[in-house]
Amino acid sequence: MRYYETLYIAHPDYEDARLDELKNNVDERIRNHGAEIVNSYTWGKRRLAYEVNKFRYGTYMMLQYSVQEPFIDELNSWMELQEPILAYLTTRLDDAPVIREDTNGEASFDKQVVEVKKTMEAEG
Amino acid sequence: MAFMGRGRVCKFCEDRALTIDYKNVKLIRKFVNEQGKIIPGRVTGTCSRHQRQLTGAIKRARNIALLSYSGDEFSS
Repeated sequence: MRYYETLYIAHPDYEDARLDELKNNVDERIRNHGAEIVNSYTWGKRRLAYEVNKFRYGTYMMLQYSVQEPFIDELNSWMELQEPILAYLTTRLDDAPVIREDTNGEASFDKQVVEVKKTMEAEG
Repeated sequence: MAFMGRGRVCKFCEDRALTIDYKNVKLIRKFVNEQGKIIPGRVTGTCSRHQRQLTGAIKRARNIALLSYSGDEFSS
């Protein structure tokens, strides 16, 4: 059994209900492949380092799971077809990820997330 | 950008708790120059083992738009 981590960027206009719907959709997709989800949470809205599909901002979503048989190819081809997903990256983890208690609040990985909100409001 | 200077000990060997992760953009950004190029290990003092891990992390970060491929792409 191995642990994997998929980080994907959601459309910047997707918030609250629509974002949850997307998240649940992805979670279910992963579960259907026989994976057990460890963590699934919103990492936060960030300014992208370069434009992706003409977007300058995106919401980073984190998904950590364990699975017996990897299904990266199937997942990637499915992700490619999802319009609200701008980009995705799956990596193998060496150790089991730490289970996050608070999965609702935005991760405070760095304070840039808050700053992005301010600049977005200023830019309109 | 903090410059390390030649002949220094590897930062990651010195501090074992410091893990190389593509999500830690703040740390990784110290190992690329203004053009977004990866700074060679002989300049930063990073040992070959950690430099390998670092280049992998930088490439992953670039792929998911956490780090730019070519410096600041919104310079307009």
